[in-house]
Amino acid sequence: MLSGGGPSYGWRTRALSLLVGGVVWEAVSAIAATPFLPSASATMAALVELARNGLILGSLSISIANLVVGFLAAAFVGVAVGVTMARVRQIEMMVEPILHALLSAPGLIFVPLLFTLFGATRLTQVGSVFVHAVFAITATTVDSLRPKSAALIAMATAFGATDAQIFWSIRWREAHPMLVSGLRIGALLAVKGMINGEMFIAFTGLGALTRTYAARFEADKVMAIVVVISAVALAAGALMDVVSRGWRRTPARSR
Amino acid sequence: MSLAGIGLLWELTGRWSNSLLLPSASETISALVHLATTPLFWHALWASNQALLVGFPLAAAAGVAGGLALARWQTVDRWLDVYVELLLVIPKSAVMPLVVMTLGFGLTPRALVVFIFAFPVIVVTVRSGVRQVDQRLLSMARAFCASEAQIWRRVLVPGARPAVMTALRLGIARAVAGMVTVELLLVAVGVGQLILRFRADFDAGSVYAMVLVVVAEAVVLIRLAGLLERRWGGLAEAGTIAG
Repeated sequence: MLSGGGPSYGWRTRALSLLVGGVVWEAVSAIAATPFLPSASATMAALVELARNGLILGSLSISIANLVVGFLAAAFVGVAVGVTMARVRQIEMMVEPILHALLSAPGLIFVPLLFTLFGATRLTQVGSVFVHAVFAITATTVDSLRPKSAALIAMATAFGATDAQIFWSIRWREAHPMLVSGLRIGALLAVKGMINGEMFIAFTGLGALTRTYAARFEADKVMAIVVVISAVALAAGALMDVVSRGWRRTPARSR
Repeated sequence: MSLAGIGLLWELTGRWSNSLLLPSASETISALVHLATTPLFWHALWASNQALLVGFPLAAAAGVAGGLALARWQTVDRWLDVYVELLLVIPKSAVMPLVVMTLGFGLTPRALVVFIFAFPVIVVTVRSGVRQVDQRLLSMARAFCASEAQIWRRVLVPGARPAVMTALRLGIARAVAGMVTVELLLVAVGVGQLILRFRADFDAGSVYAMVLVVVAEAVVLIRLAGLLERRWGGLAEAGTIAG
């Protein structure tokens, strides 16, 4: 979400630093010797075991399906509402304060509401992904569509362009970089929504698996799932980076 | 105006659907008024906020100190950078079970969860803010043989203030998220417990009322942090993403 904008260190430093961290982790867990701080090696062993017996893969595919459906719905609704707000001033004025309030609140708080509507079903899990991501996507879409090139718009107006033409040919195109970074933020929030929703309605997916092992106090397996979920989050971020680069490379078509 | 419009829309939808699952605005408000007269509600609110009161100041202190250290000493930053990124990316709710397994169901694990939620964003925001402190001021301070303490007092701390205020605003939003998340998912106490209980009773009006309370608390705290930011932080930007 926040890259920090500082120097970026080479992969060698990162790899070495991760290696040192792994050794420290191993040593600390050996010294502490509490059952709930599994060592790096125990975590890896648990990961391999869960991967072998198919539990991880089964839950992962369910989780990813929840994630993809929920995120696509949030992206579609978020961008559509954002565009509507940016185009119609009255709607923006009406929705904006509510949107800010919804954006400030933790995403999980809306999941009990989904539960009252849909019960303990997968729809609630997908809905959790949706409510975690949709408000941030809407807000960034509105922000990205604020007019930027006053000169371009003045020229278009002088040449008799309609409102719709100005919107789609100038403001919509200029919005792309920020729109995509909004979708990236949305994707990371969607991963949180995925795991929160599955932990709340604990019957399928990685979240449910986490709760099962937590209830059995199998910390190494919980840790192994944390690793998998983090990988999903990293992959979602990386995927959005690829999408945004592809988008930027596409030259703006002139009409 | 906006609130009135949405409220009216909600009322009409609620009445029209006439369902047990979707309460109308007036049902929710009356549930809220009723709740506010019960000591149960206030006890729950207090129980939840204790975790926030303990966890957030600790996260703020550790996060600001950590962010300053990372920005000041590049060697430290070089080694810890990858972990800072991991902290941001790892979904915190997945880590919560480990905290609860280790520390049980008391106040300590909940406060620690609040800490875990708020700390990463504070570190990262402070770090990137301090990095933007004018490098010329730093080299000038060095040229005039300023001591490390003087550099901190005269250059870094004043320069970091806007970033610190922003970090606290972003952090409080995450802290509220942590407070609610642990209660809804693992340790049923406070506000989370009330929501779960009303849900089990199919008391949709009260569920909606409790959700409104949490949203209101988040909005008020973030607004307050925004006010402080505008007063002491130089520049400010409203709104924040809680996740």
